[in-house]
Amino acid sequence: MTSFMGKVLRVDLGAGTAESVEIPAQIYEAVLAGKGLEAWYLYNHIPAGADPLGPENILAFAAGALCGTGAFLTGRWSAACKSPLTGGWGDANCGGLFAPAIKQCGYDAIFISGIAEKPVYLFCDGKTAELHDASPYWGLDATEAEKALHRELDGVCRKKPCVACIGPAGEKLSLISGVCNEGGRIAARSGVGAVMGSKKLKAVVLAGARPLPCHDPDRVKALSRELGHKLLKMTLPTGLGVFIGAGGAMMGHLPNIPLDGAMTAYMFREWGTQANTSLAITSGDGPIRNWGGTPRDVRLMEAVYNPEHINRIETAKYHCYSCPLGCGGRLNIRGRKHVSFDETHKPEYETIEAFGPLLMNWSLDSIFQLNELLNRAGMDTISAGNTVAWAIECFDHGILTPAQTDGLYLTWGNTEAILKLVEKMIAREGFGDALADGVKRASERFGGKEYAMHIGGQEPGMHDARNDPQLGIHFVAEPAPGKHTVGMNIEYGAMSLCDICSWAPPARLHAKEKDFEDTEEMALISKANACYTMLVDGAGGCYYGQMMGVHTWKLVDWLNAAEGWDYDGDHYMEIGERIQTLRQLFNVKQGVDPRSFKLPKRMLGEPPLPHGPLKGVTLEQHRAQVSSHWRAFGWDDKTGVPLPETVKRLGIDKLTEAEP
Amino acid sequence: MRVKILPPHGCDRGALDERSWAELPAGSTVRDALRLVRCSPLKAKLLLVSVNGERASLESELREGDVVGFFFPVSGG
Repeated sequence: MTSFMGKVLRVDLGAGTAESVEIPAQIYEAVLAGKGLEAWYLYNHIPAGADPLGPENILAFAAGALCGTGAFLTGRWSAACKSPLTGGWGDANCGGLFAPAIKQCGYDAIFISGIAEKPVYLFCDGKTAELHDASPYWGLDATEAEKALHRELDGVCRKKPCVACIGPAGEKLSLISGVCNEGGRIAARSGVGAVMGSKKLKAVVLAGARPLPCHDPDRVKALSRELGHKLLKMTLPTGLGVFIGAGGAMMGHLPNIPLDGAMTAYMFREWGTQANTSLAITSGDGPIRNWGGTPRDVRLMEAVYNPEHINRIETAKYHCYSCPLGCGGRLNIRGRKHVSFDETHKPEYETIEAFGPLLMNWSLDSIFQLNELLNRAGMDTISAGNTVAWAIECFDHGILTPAQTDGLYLTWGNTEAILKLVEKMIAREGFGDALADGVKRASERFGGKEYAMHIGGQEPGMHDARNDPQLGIHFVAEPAPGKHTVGMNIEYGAMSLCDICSWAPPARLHAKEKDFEDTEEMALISKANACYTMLVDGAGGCYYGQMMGVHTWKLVDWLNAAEGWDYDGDHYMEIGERIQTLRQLFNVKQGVDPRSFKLPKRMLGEPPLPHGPLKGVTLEQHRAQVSSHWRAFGWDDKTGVPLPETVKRLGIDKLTEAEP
Repeated sequence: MRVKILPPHGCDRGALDERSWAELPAGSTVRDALRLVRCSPLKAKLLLVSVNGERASLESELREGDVVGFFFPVSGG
């Protein structure tokens, strides 16, 4: 017995059919589940040239291999499709309870093609899979739609169903929209929400209750207990958050060292990802003033975004499925300035940075409001923040005028104008309509392309490649460009991948300048980061488990116990390599030239910043680093296309023959 | 026994191999590991010295395969 359900649900919205399809065991051995299964299936089944918003595109929802086995921090679910934002591979992932719900229906993944005639939702309880009328829910925000579906199905199902749905942004085909669950937690990236909206699919509702298999549950649970005991003891002295900004300023000047990744858990447990904001402002990691500013432009802003301010209004912490860490939380925001809601999820770092320092916005309260507005709308805060930043900078330079912005004075830090603009983007109203498809489309229409921060159409996550040049490699070499969760040098130093993988270089004490050089070692490090991230995604693991390092979050041991395998780290890293290569092949098949993914000049240091921790930094060897990364993967180092011998070595040619 | 030591800035890594592992006699403590990398006990306490992710005292006894680490503000998201 393995942890896989062995089947997927295939739904055709045009024909109104749903069928269960068995997946050969060799596929799971090759790519696990989660993003691996999605990569294999979408590569085989989406025809070249398919319209991302047309019936041929397939929207996938998948759970990872370890989901439901008892392994900790493995409750992520993944949505994937051909991205309408980039034209190539698109995916996004999210926590909550939706991942085990997929498997409890008897499937590892759900693949949805076609377009429904009228709004529908997919209901599956493990025995039946049916399409129901979703007209009453169309137009509701994601949180209200979820509540309404729960009300309708109350008493109908044996258990409370799990709902993944789109909000108005997805319905209106905003190319920066995502898919939500659990009151606005969002799989945000790549425009997956627009694809769901194009299919007139409001929601996927899962109410299965099947037991989830595992080869050796006792061993899996023993490993989890070991981690759980540690995490319970990980507490920091109260009030320490006030010093994080100073820590960031110090980090900006220190050489990189190998770290104990386990210590990252202390920060996530205490504050969640929002702890990174003040650190990012002072260290150079977080972008300021549309990536063109420095900490001097927002002097002392780290005090506004001190994580203790947010902890003080936290009413409850929450955890994803199988997670003892609990980085999420609910905040009481009633009565605060700019705020019309009673509560919101604790904003993630990405959201705070994108609507705080990036826009020079000093109002933490407004970020609570924006967080709730965008979560309910189902719009990506990273892309939305980057797009608003572009609009403000264009306004600053006279490229946009009040006549074009519906009278909004889009000046830096103008909280009222930012709020109004985001409301317009969500409603696709007036000037907001032009911004609802992201910064690339907006700049093509109005000009100001030099201020449009995107890579291949997708806006970058809130981490600066000038601070960590490995981010720059992944921003462009990743098949879903602009994603910040594939690898960083500091994270590599925390994971100790060299202790499970024979070819992964050891992390060393080194000057930061070394990270900017094109070396074989750097190429192997970036490859190792990407392979391990793909492995984690195939397992359904959490990025924050990954960051704890291989000695604390024992992914290889869990996989062997859950599947009854006895593979070493090298074997598992090859699975990651296979998944990443399949995603790259998807782009090649869809006609996306890997060379077309380029860092914006500003992120290359053109022109260099005049002061601050990134003063004078340029990424002169960036393109050479990307070529070396491709070469390390066995892809053509000039074109980024996987070489035939690599495809053969990874057995991908045989996988395509196993098509169900 | 082999122990992985990930010392903070300013320590001597000369006794560690390239993957940051070191050989220590059985029965060695955190204090012994700190001595090996010339890390002062005060610095170790300030930086919340840990063994396998759990905060540890200087007298905590080490076992084969243990990882000795220190708090450093690393986050993400």
